[in-house]
Amino acid sequence: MHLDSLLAIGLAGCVGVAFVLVVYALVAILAPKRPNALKNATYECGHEPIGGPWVPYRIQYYAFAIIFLIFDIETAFLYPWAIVYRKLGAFALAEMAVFIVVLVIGLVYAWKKGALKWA
Amino acid sequence: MYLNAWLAWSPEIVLTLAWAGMLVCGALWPRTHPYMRHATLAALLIALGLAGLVAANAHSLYGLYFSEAAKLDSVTTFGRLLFGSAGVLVVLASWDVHGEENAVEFFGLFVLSLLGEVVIVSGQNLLMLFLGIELLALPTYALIAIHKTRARAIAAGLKYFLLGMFASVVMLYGMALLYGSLGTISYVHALFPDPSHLSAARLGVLQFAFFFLILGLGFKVTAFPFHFWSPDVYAGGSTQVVAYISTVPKVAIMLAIFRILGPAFSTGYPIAKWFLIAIAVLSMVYGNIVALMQDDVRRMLAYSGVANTGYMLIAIIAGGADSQAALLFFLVVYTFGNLGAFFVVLGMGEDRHITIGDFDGLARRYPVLALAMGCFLFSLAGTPPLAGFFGKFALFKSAVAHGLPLLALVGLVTTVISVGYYLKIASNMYGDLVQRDLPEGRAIERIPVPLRIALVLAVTATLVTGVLGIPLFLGAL
Amino acid sequence: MSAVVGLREFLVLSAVLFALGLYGALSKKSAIMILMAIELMTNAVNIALIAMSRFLTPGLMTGQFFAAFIMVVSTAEIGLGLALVLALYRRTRTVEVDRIDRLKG
Repeated sequence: MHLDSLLAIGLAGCVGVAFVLVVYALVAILAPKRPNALKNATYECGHEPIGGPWVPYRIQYYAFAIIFLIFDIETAFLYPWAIVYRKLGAFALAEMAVFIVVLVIGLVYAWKKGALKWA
Repeated sequence: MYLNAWLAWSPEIVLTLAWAGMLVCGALWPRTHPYMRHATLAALLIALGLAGLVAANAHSLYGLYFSEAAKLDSVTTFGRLLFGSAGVLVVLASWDVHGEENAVEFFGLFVLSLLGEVVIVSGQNLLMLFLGIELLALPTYALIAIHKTRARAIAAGLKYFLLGMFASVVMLYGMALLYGSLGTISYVHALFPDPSHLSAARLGVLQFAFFFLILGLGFKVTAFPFHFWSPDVYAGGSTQVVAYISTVPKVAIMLAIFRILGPAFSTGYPIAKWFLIAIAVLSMVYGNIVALMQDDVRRMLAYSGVANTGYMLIAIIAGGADSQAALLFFLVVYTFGNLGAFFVVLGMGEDRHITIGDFDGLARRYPVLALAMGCFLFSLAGTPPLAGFFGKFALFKSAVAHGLPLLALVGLVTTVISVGYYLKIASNMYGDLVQRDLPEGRAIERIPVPLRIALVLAVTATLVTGVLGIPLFLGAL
Repeated sequence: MSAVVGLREFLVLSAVLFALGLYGALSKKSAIMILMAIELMTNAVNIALIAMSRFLTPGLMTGQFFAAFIMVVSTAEIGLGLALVLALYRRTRTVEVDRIDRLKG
């Protein structure tokens, strides 16, 4: 049974890869090639690019990203909490209240330090 | 039961509340910044008092808590009292340095790292150990980087951070392998079963686990091949922070290592034991010899710290109750000697490197400071009338008692080497009492009063420990 | 349940990821790249822990909880690390680890 399902998956994968390769090969063989400067230019995507893409972003993005990251990952604790919530009842609620209060303290600190201001 | 838990962990609750209060007050009212140090000091003193009260009611409060995640016993109490006292000294030494700017961050992070140390010592499973180590380490990375003027401090902080994280993840891999081979992460009962009860495959995995675990923890306690970060980081951060991170975290992690690995070596595991013996011997030899060649005093103390890690590891390899007593005693000696030596360096000036030459003629110009430094150095060196002697004596004795006479011999020989560099400073300080025409060392600005109090307390602690060590010494004879 | 992918495969995957991360952490010069390599190692540990939890102690959730805590802690670490990198970049305009070796001396 396992072998059957694996075979089906493998077959689908092979067909997918083969299809892409065949299309690319057809394009390479059949398409006429008469390049000129205008055709090689970047088109239909707005302005000509100036400079490389590896420019430093505004430092504000990073500060926001850091704060987002930290508060976002705390939800990882909410899942196990939600699972045991029915079993533990009021105790779990109190625990989560303590947890949230600690988070809020961190938020208040970040806010007052001006980390949430965009300027 | 709940009430007992509240009482038993009241020192930590007080510190947590103090941390939260400082963060909120500091953020909302900038006028409170100068009082952060008072708040920290008060919280530490209250916590110390509560820890004493808890210890006085040991029969009703000691035991396992939080589904066997934490244990309150005499070792935990020892840790609380030692970390609390060291914390008080560090706060006093930092009194004027972070008065306004960064006061909230500095003292808040400091309290958090102290909490991490208690978690490390009281923890009863690998998860608690990991969380404690991270709670300890994360604030110290930032503490190194917080410095008024130097970009160098941020670079040192980043370096410490990257290497520390690397060590943590190596340790984690060891923990994962341990969990895989033993099926548990709890060390309420001895974590390591008798090796003869394990299949060959599990035993093989376990050896790898030991290797990774010792690698990660060895980094945190600056054992020999993993010590390379410490001289640079110690030279980069501000002196009071370096005094702290070179002392207290090492003590906490040593206690945890003793809890985990101590019982293992009495049941077997020869490969892991030899690995640790090699680390201990190399730490003692390398640390002391390289310290002999240093000119910068903070680097010298960093290498002396590597050597002292080697001495502490002796107790862990030996295992057993007498080794534990020796280790605890030695940890007290090391804490106050090392803190004190760094405080003297701090008193001599924060702005540039303090070299051994700066101690020239210190005894004539600042006799009390020189006397304090002499006290710390000779205690660290292990010279007879001071505490360090009894500590090292007990360590070597326990090594001999557990069939490791060669390890004790290495310790003895390297101790003699170490006297060399401690004496170098002492002879600089006291040299011109004999010989008049020596060059003048550096002038010292007025030492702030809180730092003086910290120095006096550290000297007192060193002397008192020495006196307390006499019965231990006589009993061992 | 399928037995095609067992504990061994997960552990091999974990070991390979760990080794890749180790190589990255030791060979890269940019602090950001080192951070990413260390994250890779952390996730290798997570895979090992969860696989062991699932196959060795299926009744208990020990390994999975351990992994959840590791995720949260490592995110906090990343936050601190990026903050340090930013602070250093503002002062020295570089994130290359070997160029900030003004530590010596």
